[in-house]
Order: sequence, then structure tokens, then C-alpha cells
Amino acid sequence: MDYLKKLFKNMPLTMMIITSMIIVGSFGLISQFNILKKFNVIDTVKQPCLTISLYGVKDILNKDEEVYIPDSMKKKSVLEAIRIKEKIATEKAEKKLGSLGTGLRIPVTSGNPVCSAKDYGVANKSLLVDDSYIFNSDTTGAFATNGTFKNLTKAKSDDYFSDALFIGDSRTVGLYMFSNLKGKVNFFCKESMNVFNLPVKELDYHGVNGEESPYILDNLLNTHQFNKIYVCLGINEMYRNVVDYYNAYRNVIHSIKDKQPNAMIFIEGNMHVSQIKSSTDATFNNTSLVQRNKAISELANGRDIFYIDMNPAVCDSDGNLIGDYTTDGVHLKANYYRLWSDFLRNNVVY
Amino acid sequence: MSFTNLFFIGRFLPIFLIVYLSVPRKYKDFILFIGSILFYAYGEHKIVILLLVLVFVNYFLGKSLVASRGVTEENLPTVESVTQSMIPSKKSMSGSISRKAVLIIAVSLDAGVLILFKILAKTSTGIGLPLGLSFYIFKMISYQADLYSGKIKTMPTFVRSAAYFTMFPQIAEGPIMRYGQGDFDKTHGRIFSWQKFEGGMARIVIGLSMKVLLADRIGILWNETLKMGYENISTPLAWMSAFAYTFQLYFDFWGYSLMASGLGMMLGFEDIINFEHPYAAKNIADFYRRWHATLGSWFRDYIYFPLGGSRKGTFVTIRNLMIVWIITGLWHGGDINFLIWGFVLGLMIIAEKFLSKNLLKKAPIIGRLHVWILIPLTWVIFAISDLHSLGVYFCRLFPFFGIGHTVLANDFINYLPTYLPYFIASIVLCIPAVYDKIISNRKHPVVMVALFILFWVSLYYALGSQGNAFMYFNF
Repeated sequence: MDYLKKLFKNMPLTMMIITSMIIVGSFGLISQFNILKKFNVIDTVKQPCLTISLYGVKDILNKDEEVYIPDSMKKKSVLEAIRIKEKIATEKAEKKLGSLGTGLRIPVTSGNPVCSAKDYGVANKSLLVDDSYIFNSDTTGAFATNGTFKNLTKAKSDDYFSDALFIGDSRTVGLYMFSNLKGKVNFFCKESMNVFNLPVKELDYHGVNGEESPYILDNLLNTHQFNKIYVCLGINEMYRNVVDYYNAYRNVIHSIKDKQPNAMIFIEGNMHVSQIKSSTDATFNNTSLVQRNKAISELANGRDIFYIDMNPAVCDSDGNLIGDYTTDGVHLKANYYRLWSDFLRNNVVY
Repeated sequence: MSFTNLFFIGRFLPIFLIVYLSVPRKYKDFILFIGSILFYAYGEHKIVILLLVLVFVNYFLGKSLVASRGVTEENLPTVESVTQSMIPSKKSMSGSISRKAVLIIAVSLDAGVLILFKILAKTSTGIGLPLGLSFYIFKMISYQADLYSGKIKTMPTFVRSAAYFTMFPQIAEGPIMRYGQGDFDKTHGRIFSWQKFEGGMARIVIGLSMKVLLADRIGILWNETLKMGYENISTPLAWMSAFAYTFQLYFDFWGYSLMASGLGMMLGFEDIINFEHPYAAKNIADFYRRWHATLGSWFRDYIYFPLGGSRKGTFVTIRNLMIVWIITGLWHGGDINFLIWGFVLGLMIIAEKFLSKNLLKKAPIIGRLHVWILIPLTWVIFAISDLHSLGVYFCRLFPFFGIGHTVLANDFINYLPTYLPYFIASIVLCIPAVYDKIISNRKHPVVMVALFILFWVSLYYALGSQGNAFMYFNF
């Protein structure tokens, strides 16, 4: 006891930190079994107990948002369970598709085709799905069987966008800041947004009428009416598996549809990355992006949900974002955002 | 494994410290060596073999260097006689030739490995520069040179040499401690004290929070500018970003060095000061005595002085300075921009030394302006490896050439509210008294509680970058 007293007297800061680390660590150790059930996925052999507690704190601070735990930290058994669950879901989807009206097709003119890209073989396999994977596309039932599909056409004027809402991440922020659509479209965007945190995070709303305020998606859709809603999200989800991304994306589309059933929804295919990025980055590459775009394009029905793919406007023949258009390989340089806005003008639905 | 990794803070460090502190003195260096190898192997599974080979080779070369010196404590060459022995005297000609040969072999081997990997990293994809190679190779070279010159008096044991080369607080990013600074030679080993341990802890907390809460945050602005494309930014934003990068680099590296030094102090080493308030420097030469001081003094002792330093007339001095700065540039990276960076700094320092010496004395403010305006500009050269982009950036900094075109006027105003607090914090921390006061008052309850809170907030923010390095570059 005396020795401890002496230690505290001689090195108070160290002892404070050591004591608190022991407390926080043992809290993590205990809670992995009961209190914070959802964190029992963390592999405590690979990760110190401290990590669990910190994730617990994060969970408390981000009340509604799901706290993401990287796969590299998860227990093997948990990862296997996830894989089995996915497999079952795929099989179910296969069966369901078989029973639905087969042979129904949306006309090609009702959306852009998914732009393909060269595969450099660097993509992290755990983030991708097998080619045989079937995405459980429950909008399939909304296919028009009576030929009332709508086709893409050119906008008559920028007034088309005055009742449109653009939802997105930093790429859309760039479109807002640097393209000439500012003030003509209602923007709802913020850096680091993704389909997982979109329902709970506040985004900046820049209204055509000059309104500038932050909203949560639900609140915005409750108080404002839009006839066209564009969704452009996907680059911040790339460290998550394609299936996770797709499922969360579908939920987003559903909740938008619930709030604004009359609005047309435009699913914007994710812009590809540059060749340098795509050929070297295990996470941010076009192999993964093309899979993601194919997945979300499944949600389109040609009647009120459309898939539009701007990649041909900014990519070379290998499907790589042209090097001169970007410095970080992921975002357009400020002066090239007009290519994107011009694409949008040329691909609208009346 | 980086020091901001939770696995390091929550697992490796506590276990290592318990083992290291509980074993008797004579085993401490052995534990340090083993722990450091594990630390290194955690991130670099294969390269650890290269490290071990280099450790063995350098030890045995060092041994033969000393064997031919025939060293016992008595006939040790003194430091003065050594400086002369660099120019071999007639008496010891034959002995010193073979010793010199061994030294040349050792140094060229070490330097060769470094150059080889630098070239490989540049030319072939998939081979990166091994973690910390530039740093431990420099330690090895200084070890050989110090053995040769007799600065290291007796041949160290293998374990001591190995612990010196690999010690984990310094292996990834320095500081480049000299063998003699490591208290390896003292009969009773290094002095351990609770006071020192506490001082180390304070430095770790300060360093950690500088890196996580300041450098990583303010660096995002530089990234934003990059995204926009340099040709599209306004001149105020170009300057703002240049300063953001300047501060990011400073607090990242200073923070890291503080953590390294703090860890060393916990193990009983002395405080190794790698940054001594460089932005309070009087001129650029002074800046580089304070910035990354262990690297600067390495170049001084092992390249500049052996070349003759500044004692052989103006021409040789200029030549030597230029050689040192060009090698410094290349040490940082193989791209042409690093060469330019070193060359420009060499020119600036030569100009200060020979042209504007009197002016700097009469108006000290000019020297300080050099530090605050020219240094950030040199960091821009340091940051942009593509020459064309570099040219464009300078045209935005000095918009008289009409290259580029601001897409969004007043773009900097968008960023100002977010980054202003970081700029203010950065400037405050550049005042030497601030850091010195924190360190000297670290027992004051307010300071202590503040450090304690900073520690946990930093850990919380460090969580965001765990497991996936991309997570903190959110788009």
C-alpha cells in the first residue's frame, strides 16, 4: 500500500493512466460476454480489451448509427456465421426469382447500362461477391407489364432540376460547389456520408429557394416535397462488402419511397477511379465499383426508379477515370464537374 | 505497428514494459532486442529477415573493425587522435589501411542496401521501402564510423549492438540516436527512475495528441486542395493549404518523435530531442539545426565534417553544403522533387551564410520571415512529386503568370471556419514557451488532468483509423 502511495506521488500521470487503462480494459473484458453483446464479435486475441470498451463508448456517442467493426478485428467464428447467412440469403433469392414473372425486361433506353471496367486483379476478394450471386431485388415486382416504361431523354432546361433533390457524399459536395448547377438544384450532401449513416446523420441542405440548414433525411422529406430524388452514394462504403452495401442501399431507397411515393428516384452509378488507383488499391478499385454498380442497378424498374451511369462521360475505354480529370484518383478536379452536370442534363425522364 | 495503433498501446507496450522492468539489468538489452524484433515482425513479416541479417553483418564487421584496432581499454585511440587518423598518419599506415577497408566495406554495404531498396521501391510495383530502413541503416553507419573513430570505446556485445539497431521506439521513424547516447556503455547500464518514466509518459501523451488530434486533422485541408486540382484553386487557398501541410508535417513528425523519446525514457534512456522549436528559429540554417536534429547532426558528423566542413575555404564549404543537402534530399525520397528540395535548401543556406549574413544580423526579422515564408514554400516542393503539378501550384501561390484559373472565387472561405481552430492551435504550439511550460508544469493538477483527458480523447480518435487505414480519409 505504501509502495502504491509512493508510486502515485512520484508519477501521478502515469498511475492515473495505468489505473484508467486497467479499469477500461477490464470493463471491455467483462462486457465482451454480456453487457455490450454486439461487441462480442471482436477477437480479443488479436485486439486488446481496450478496443471493445472504446467501441462501446463510440456506440453510446453515436446513438443511432451502427458502429462499424472492421472484419480484420472480428472473430473467425463470427465471420463464418456471416458467410453462411449470406449463402442462405442468396439461395432464397434464387428461389424467389424463379417464381416471379421471368422474362420481364426494362427497355435499355430506360436507364444507362452499367459501365464496365478493366480488372487489374488487385481487389480484396473479401469485399466482393461471386459472379453467381443474386441480389434480392424486391422492386422486381414493380416492373411494368403494360409497357409504361419511361425513357431517358435530354432536359428541356435547367428548370427540370428545380424540384429535384441530390443526395450524396463528398463527390456531390463537389458537384454543388464547382458545377453550374448550384442554385438550380436542391442539394443534400456532406463529406463521408454513406448508405449506412445516411438515415441518422445530419446533412447540409442547400435549397433552390436559398434555404441553408442541416437536416436528418427523414425530417427533410417530411417537410419538403421533391419530384425527383437523385442518390449518389457508394465510395465511402468500399471497405464494406458488396452485399452489405447493397442491402443498406435498398433500405435507403425504400425509406425514400415511403416518404415521397410520387418522386422519381435516380440511382446514380458510382464514378470509377483512375487507373493508378484501380490497379494498386485493394479497396478502391473499379472491379469493386462495377460490382457495386451492377448490384444497385438491380433496384431500377424503369417506371419510377432509374439507374443512370455517368462513367462514359469521364472514363477512358478501359473504364478508368481519365487521369487528367483527377488528382486523388477518386474525385473530379473542380473544373471537370461540368462533365457530370452535363451528363445529368442529358439523361432525364419526363 | 504504429504508436497510434491500439494493439500497441493496449497490448504490446504494457506487456513489454512489465517484462522489461522486472528482469535484472543485465537482461534488459536482450529483452529490448527480442521485443523490438517482435514489434517489427508484426507489420513486416518478411522484411524482419533483412533486418536480422543487417544486424548480424554489421555486428561482425564492427567486430573485425575493432579487432584490427587491437582494442583494450588502454590503447584506445582518443577522439582527437581519431580526427587526425581520418587522414592516415605514417606510423599506423598498415593497420589503418585494413581498418579503413573494413569501414568502407561496412558503410558501402549499408548504404548499398538502402540505395538498392530506394531504387526498387521506385522502379518496381509491389516492393515498398521496408519500414524504417532509412533510419536503422543510418544508425548502423554511425555505429561503424564511431567504432572506427573510437567514439565507441570498447566493442559492444552482440546483444547491445542488436538492441541499439532495432530498439522499437526508434526503428520506424527515428530519432537516429547515436550508440553513445544510448547509455549502453555505462558499467551499470542506463539509469532508470520513476521521474524519467513520468516524463516519458507526458511526452507520449503530448505526442499522441499532436499526431491524432492536430496533424491528422489539419492535413485534410491539404487533401481537399489536392482533390480540387491545383490549377483550380485561388491564391489565398494555395497559401492556406501550404501552411496546413507545413503544420501537418511538423506536428506529425514532432508528435512521433516525442512519443519515441517518451518510450525511450520509460526504458531508462535520456530524452532525445529531435525537434527544438524549429519555427522559432532565427534563420533557415538555424531551422535545420532544430528540425529533425538527429538527422542533421548525422549529416554533419558523418558527411560534412569528413569532407572538410567549413575549414577549407569558401569553395569547399559551398561544395560540402551542397553535397550534404542533395544527399539529404535523396534520403527523403527518390523523386526529382526531393532533389530540388535539397538543392533549394542548400542554396538558401549558402546564401544566408555568404550573402546576407550582415543583413540578417542587422535585421533579424528577415531571418524569421525566411523561416515562416520560405520554409512553407520548400514544403510544397517536398509534397508534390510531379513537376508539372508543382509548377502549377507555384503559379497559384504567385498568380502573376496567369496559369490556372480559380473555379470558385473565395473558395478558402468555405474552409476557414473548419480549419481556423487547428491553425490557431498550431501557431500557439509553435511558441517554445508553451511546450516548455507544459513539460515543466506537468505535475500541476490542471496540466495533469488536461493531459489525462487528451490521452483518452486521442485514443478514441485513434479508434477510427484502426483495422482500416482508409477509414480516416473519408470522402
